[in-house]
Amino acid sequence: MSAPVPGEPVGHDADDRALLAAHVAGDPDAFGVLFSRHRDRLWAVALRTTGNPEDAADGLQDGMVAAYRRAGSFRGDSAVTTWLHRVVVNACLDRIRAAKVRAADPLPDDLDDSARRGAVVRSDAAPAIVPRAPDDPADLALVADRRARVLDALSRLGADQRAALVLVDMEGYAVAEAAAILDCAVGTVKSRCARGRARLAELLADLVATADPPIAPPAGNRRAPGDVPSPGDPRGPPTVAP
Amino acid sequence: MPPETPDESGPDPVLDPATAAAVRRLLAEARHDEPAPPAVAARLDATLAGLRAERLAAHPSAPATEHGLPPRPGADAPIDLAARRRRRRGGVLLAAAAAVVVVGVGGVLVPRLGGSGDATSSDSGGQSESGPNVGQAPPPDGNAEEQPPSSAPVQPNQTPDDRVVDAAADLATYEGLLLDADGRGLSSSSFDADLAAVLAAVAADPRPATSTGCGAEPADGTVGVLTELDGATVVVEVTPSAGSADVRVLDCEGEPLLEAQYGAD
Repeated sequence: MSAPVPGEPVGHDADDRALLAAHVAGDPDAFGVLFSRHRDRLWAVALRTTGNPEDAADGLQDGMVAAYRRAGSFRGDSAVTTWLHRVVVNACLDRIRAAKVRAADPLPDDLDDSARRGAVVRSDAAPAIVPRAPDDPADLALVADRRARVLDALSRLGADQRAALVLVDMEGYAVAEAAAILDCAVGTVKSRCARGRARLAELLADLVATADPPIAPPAGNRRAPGDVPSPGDPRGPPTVAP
Repeated sequence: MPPETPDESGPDPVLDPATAAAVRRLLAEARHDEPAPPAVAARLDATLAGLRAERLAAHPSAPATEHGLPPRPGADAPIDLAARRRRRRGGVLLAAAAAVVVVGVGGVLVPRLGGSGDATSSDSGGQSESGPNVGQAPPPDGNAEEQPPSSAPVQPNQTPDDRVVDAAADLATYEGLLLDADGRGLSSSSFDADLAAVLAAVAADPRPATSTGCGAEPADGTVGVLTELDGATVVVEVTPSAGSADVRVLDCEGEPLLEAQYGAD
């Protein structure tokens, strides 16, 4: 990490590494600029990893505090955004594990608990058939229905499998980058993805059978409003691993 | 890089390409594309403001480093949570070697949406530490989240130190066990009061932590309590003794974050 000039705050257009270095050097605004760049994508990952907005908000906040305080430990081996994702995903996974320890209950009870906490993934919270608004095209209703089903099924996976699928298949990260974020081997991510997809194929058998072609262009890998350029090449849509 | 290990035992399932592609397409379609909600953004901004204030308050006139600023707590140098107590008692406490816990001279306001970690602050009267519940929304079904059972009654004249010692004595019969704090956590900005509340609650309703997901285990002769410190999972290792209690906070790797001794004046 390059050290900024002492006493000179970096500009808002500085790259991620410069901002992180400035934060470590004491720039009071640098971390805020850095985090705001990636906040929306980190929020999306946290939301899909935890499965409900309250835990996602807690996990994102935990991750932000950890990143703020541990910025000096960033070694520069990966992109700053990868490191930020790692910190946030770990915070989310810690919360999920802590909740499971507290509950000491099997998965169905976890889901009930998630529902009480404002989950958006329960099939009863998100109706199986999305009411058809007069002005909404039928395609949108079908897409909403599928999303609710998919999120419900995703919530039934273990946290590690879910996190891998969120990063690889939802967010479009390369397996190697997801492995860096999850701090595990590439093979482990592949295994988690394979097992997670197989489980989802069972849970969503009816959708899988009729899933081609998509009714609407999939939202995957489309940049969210306010998203920022990633340090690498733009990611393409998910593709089937050879 | 960690070793290449399969996620579970047995070979990975193999989906036919069409099915795998369909699943991946469904997942991509379910991606969340909306920005963070305003309440969440506001909460993060408030937390960040607290972190900045804490940083500035911690080093208003400290000597400069090579970057022109004082050493930053929380990154390389451990923050000595025990220092406050050491100053108060004249050298009773030990600082941790690798603490990454920031003690708030200015105190970080950590707003919460109402997650389970809130229980401790409210239990210990630490509302100011937990900060405002920015953007808190009621549960969708209108029911309040189940609260953990209340702690043991607090004697009005007892200090947090006294309560820690008393609770540690009550926990002595559970030596060698890891107990669950049942959603209660600790904040570095109100550590003593939080610890007293957590230990009292665990002593009043001891429950074993069945599956911790945390590698730290209590040493022989100690009682472990699985809880959180500033949102991070930790194990509080309590060593009760006559009229005093030694406390160590371990991260999930078993590394000590801080050590403290209570009631040894």
